[in-house]
Amino acid sequence: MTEVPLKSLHVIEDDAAVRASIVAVLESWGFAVEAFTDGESYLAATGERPVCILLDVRLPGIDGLAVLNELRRSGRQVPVIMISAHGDVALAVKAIQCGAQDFVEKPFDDADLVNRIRAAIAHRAGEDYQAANLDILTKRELQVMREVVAGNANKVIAYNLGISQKTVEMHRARVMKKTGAKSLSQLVRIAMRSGTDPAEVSR
Amino acid sequence: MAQADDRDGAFRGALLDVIVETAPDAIITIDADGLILSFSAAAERMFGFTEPEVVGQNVRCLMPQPFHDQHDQYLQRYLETGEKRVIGIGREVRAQRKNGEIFVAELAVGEFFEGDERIFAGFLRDITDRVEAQRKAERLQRMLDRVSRIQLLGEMATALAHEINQPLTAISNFARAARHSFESDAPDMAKCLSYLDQIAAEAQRTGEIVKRMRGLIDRGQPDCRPENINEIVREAIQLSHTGAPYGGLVIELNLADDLPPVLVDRVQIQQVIVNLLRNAAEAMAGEDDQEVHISTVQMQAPSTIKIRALGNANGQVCVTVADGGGGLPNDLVERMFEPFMTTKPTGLGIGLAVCRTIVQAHGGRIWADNNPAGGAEIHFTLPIARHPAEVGIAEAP
Repeated sequence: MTEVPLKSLHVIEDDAAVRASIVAVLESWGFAVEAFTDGESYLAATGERPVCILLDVRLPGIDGLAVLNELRRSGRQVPVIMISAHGDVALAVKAIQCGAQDFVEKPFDDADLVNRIRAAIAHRAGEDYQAANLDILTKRELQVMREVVAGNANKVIAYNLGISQKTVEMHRARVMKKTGAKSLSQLVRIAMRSGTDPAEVSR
Repeated sequence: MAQADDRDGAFRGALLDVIVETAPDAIITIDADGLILSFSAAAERMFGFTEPEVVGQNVRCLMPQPFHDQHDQYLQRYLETGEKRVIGIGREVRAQRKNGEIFVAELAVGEFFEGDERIFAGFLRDITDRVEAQRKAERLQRMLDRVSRIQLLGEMATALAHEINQPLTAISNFARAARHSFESDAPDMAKCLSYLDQIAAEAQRTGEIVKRMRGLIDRGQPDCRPENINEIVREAIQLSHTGAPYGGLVIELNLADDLPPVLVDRVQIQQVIVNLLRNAAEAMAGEDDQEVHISTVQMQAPSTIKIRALGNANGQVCVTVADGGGGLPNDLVERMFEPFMTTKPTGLGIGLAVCRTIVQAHGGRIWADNNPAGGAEIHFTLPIARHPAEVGIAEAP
């Protein structure tokens, strides 16, 4: 843990206990962490530039997505990882489209979060799967992928495509394997990069 | 004078003929024995019989069972008691066409005498379309209710997940932070203790959220009073709107009439029955014969293994809802009352879990099995209301 050079992270999270716990766990991994309770105070704050921002989706006042948009609008290109308390895939897709590097769901595994933070800092998160070729997917796998990145749950995908939930899970696993995507957010970016507009199939 | 009367009489006779022949309602006259005397053109169109085919026949040939067999008794009762149940009142009846098709009609009956002979005139209006439209509206309303209920439950489930994930995140993070600190060369004990305290506090917070959520769903303790279970069943059927005799779903009742009162919250038990009826209807969707049987019975001394397993259920009242659907897979029988257990594409798996919560809060038990003759059966028991004095005696040493 000590091999990680001290890096400054910013955490924007309104829940006091969650905020304190994120600070505690990331400090235990060797990061320097500064925490903020809402989007307004964060955008107004001046200070040291962080290497990565952890941004809660649901914030009082202006929400996480609006904070993200404001950061991008003002030209700050620092990597942002969105944090959500419930698996809202459609929201995750939107966050990625708005320029978030990654998206994690609460409760998260600290080691996994740290890996994602490192990847985001290293800007690896957009590169190591750039070469993913969607031509290797079958027609069915492509359909399933479109539904997945549109934010649909397996149950809904099964219904939409008229196949069983088990079959959806099978196709889904194969899509992840073939594209090399290690997370849903990676898959979303792969799909976006290949010209699949998630909004096209959603609803 | 006599000539004028004649002319007047002829005019009235002709007018009557025109009315009978052109009225959109079917007009049928019968004698006191129920034999058809006349059958208007509208009646011919409505029923598919010609007048010569039915004149002299008993009018019951236009009725489906059980009215077909009972009509003679209806007539007899009226002739003996003079008690009017249709005459001058009118009611909706079921009628049967020549091709066997059953339809709903509005019936008005008038009575007059020709000499000594008593004659009844019946006016029938086919209201199939109106009934159909009404049923459609009710179906839409039900769908709407269901959609809004599902939406509400969905919102609740999302809120619950969100609320609980917060303390879970904090617990997970503090635990890892504490572990990392212990593992380091110079553990900060004060910090670690504070992490452990915060873990405990967050676990408490999770419990509070669950409690609050349950309070929201339960709406406190059931308001229990002695009630007649059969009345509750009948009201629940009305509530579920599936009780219409001409609806797709036929509900057969087999209610024991000597049941003691049960000690229940009327509204909650109705909710259980409405849920079970809806499940039964969905299990049989698309089938030709959609029949649900509801029975009530008082549990007797243990005679079968199943009932023996109920232990203290002896003396309780048992309600059974049986459908004619595909039955239940074995693995589902055990788990179907668990929350979030569902086989429906849009189901949340809340309905039966709510049923179980309600029944258990009443001190009853709910379970499922398959009818050997096909279909699924859900049974639930309810405690009977004992007279206070009786309880005293029972508890005396």
